Amino acid sequence: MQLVKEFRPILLPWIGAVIAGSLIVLKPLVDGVGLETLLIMVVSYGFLGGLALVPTMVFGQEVHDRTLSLLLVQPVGRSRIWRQKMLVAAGAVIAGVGAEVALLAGISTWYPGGELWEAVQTSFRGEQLFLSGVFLVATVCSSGFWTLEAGSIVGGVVFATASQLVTALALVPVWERIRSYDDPFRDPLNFIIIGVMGLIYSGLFLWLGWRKFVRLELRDARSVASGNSSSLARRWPARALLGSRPESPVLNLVRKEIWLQKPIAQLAGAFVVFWCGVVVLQRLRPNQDITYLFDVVTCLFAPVSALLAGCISLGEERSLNLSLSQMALPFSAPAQWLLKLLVSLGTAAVLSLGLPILLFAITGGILELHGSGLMNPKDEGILGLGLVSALMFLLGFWASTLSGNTVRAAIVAIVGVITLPALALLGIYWGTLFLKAEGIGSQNEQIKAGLWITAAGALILMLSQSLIQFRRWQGGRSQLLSYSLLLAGVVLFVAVGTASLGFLML
Amino acid sequence: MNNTTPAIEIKDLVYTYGRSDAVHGLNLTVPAGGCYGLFGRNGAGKTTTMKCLLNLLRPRSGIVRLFGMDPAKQEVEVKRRLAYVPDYVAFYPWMSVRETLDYLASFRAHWNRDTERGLLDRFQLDQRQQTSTLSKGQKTQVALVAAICPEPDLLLLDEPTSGLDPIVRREFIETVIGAYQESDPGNRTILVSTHLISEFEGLIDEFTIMNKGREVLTLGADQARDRYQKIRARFATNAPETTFPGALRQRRNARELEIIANGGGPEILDQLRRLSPESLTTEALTLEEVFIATLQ
Repeated sequence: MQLVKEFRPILLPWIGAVIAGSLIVLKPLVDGVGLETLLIMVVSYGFLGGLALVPTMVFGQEVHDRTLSLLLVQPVGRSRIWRQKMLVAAGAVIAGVGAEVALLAGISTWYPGGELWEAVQTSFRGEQLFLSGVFLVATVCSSGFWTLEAGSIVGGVVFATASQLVTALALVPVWERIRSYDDPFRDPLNFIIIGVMGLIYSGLFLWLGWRKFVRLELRDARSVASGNSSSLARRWPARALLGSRPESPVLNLVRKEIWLQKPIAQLAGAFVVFWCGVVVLQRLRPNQDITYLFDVVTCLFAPVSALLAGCISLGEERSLNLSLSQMALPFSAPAQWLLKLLVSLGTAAVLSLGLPILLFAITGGILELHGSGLMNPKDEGILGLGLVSALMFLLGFWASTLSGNTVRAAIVAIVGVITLPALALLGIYWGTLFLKAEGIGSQNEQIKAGLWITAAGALILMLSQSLIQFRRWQGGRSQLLSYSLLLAGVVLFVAVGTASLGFLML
Repeated sequence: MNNTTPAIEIKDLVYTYGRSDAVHGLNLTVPAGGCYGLFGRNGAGKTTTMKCLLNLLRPRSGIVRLFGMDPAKQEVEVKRRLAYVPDYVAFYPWMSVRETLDYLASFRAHWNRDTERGLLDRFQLDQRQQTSTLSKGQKTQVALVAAICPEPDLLLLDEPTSGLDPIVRREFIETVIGAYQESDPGNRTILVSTHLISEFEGLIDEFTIMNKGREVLTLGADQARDRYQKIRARFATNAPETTFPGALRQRRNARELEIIANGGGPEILDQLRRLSPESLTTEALTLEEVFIATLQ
């Protein structure tokens, strides 16, 4: 019973990660269409992000459901509870990797001409797979500490990932001093060094996490937070600007929405600090090009912050049991919904995309960005990133009106990010099969046009569903299921339809 | 544990949240087999004290012992002997009532299924219902069932009846708690923190009133009733403006005089008799009145 209880909350991100990883089967389909980058991003982030969420949720779900006290007052040693949770986390991640390999091996047997393994090999290099392994081990070991430190699932994932990036960044000068190679993977010995460093990091955070758990104090988070933050908040200059006034309800609602987006601003602050660190490091070590790190951190920051910007506003109000009182205000519900959408969209546009573009522009004036391909107009990398971030934002906003809190909304959105493009591609594939059979039409053009039309259709439907559900205030699983099925059906139908209609138009 | 070892012993307990003191130099001894009340206003430090007993918070200084054991060092042994019902009850939302009870029972060496059946019937709880759909009161009921069924030596109840409807509340206090203690008198101890003092009036053997993290008054319930008295005198003309030594509070209303006495009841009565009142009555204060009189 105790183990079942541990596995239950991680099932959804685990399944999501495995499904995301298996989307690589679509790679041969999108080759040459210009969607390779998008697919690789969805596969990589979906698989690694989903599996990173698993160990975080093992601890974070207890914090979220406020069941830590229930667990800790049971007559079981804290070290035993810790071991049990770590075993579940590690076991689930190992099982996830195993399931992925087994799934791909199974699919490859009926995939034509061994294209699947070829697609995997060309998409992911050996060092990328190795680094992914190090990342997963380090995440499993450190997520307990970071989740308890942050007091939330989202914070746990962000800190667990960011701390690895910061550690790697800090080790770059040391690395250069010891092994002065431009390409660290030219020498196989470096794999061992990275592996050992990863193990030291993992071991350290495993110990820190255990120490934190056995010494954990269950303070009333809200009272502690209010006690500590009040003086800080009073000093924060934006507080005067964002404080509510007795007049202008619209402005007050906007101010409230901006307050709710505060975690995104904090995340953006961390992003800027990391960026500045890379700039300083690059200036100090001009012989070693580390500008690729700008791409790495942007590709992490933009989709995650866009997703959070989409789901945090309503998600946090629901977590704090505030949404009912908000709906009881003498202010039209559609107008409240629109304000939420606009402020969230503004936050995502400014911080998730505008900020990295601005930083790239400023950095471009200081440094030669040889290693960065994201802003290269030929690669359309920033466009792909923008599309993924937009999809993350939209799904986050949609899911937040259907879910009880930010975390659930984020998980639903991640599942949606994986599922909807897959359904769209599948639909277009079926549609183009029809075109091929008829020998008419340019397949690549059909796919692009089909995807855009499908995206537009999905956008309209999702916003409509979101508004309807926002006005109803309280949803449930059945509502989420029926809306999701309708959305999936419409995406599939529109994708098949637009690809087939291309035939009629030509 | 021998009979003289108290169930709970707290000496000079200090706990702080940042710079503000939650508990400051608290001393408390709860003998085994009794029902002990911990009373205080909001923010008095009751929940913090309970959490220190459970090792959910680590005291900044002072000594905490349960059955003579240090909860920080012998955490599991201590928790085997107690059950706790928090002020905010939370369960895993995907579990049903049945699964929740099975889950909690899995941690215990002993679980009385007959008691569980009886309590579930009494509270009219549907075992198949998911905990996420339970009302606040129903969640508290499930928590109480989970606390009683392992038949622990010590029950720590933090605002246990908040959210319960009056019928269930009365039934819980009179029947469930009563039955729990009577099944092994002398060994079953209860520490209850509550605002609803009057509801626990008949159960409390001894109590401590806390204010701003400090102990204000510790007394046996019977002693309190003897010591704290409400004296009413009615005069033929306006009540005299005399001050009474030993009076905790006095209120004058035209011909009536009401005095709350703290230990000096007989002397005040003698003094009043000398003023020849038309009528003179005395009654013991309820624990709630003692609480209000002490903190006002």
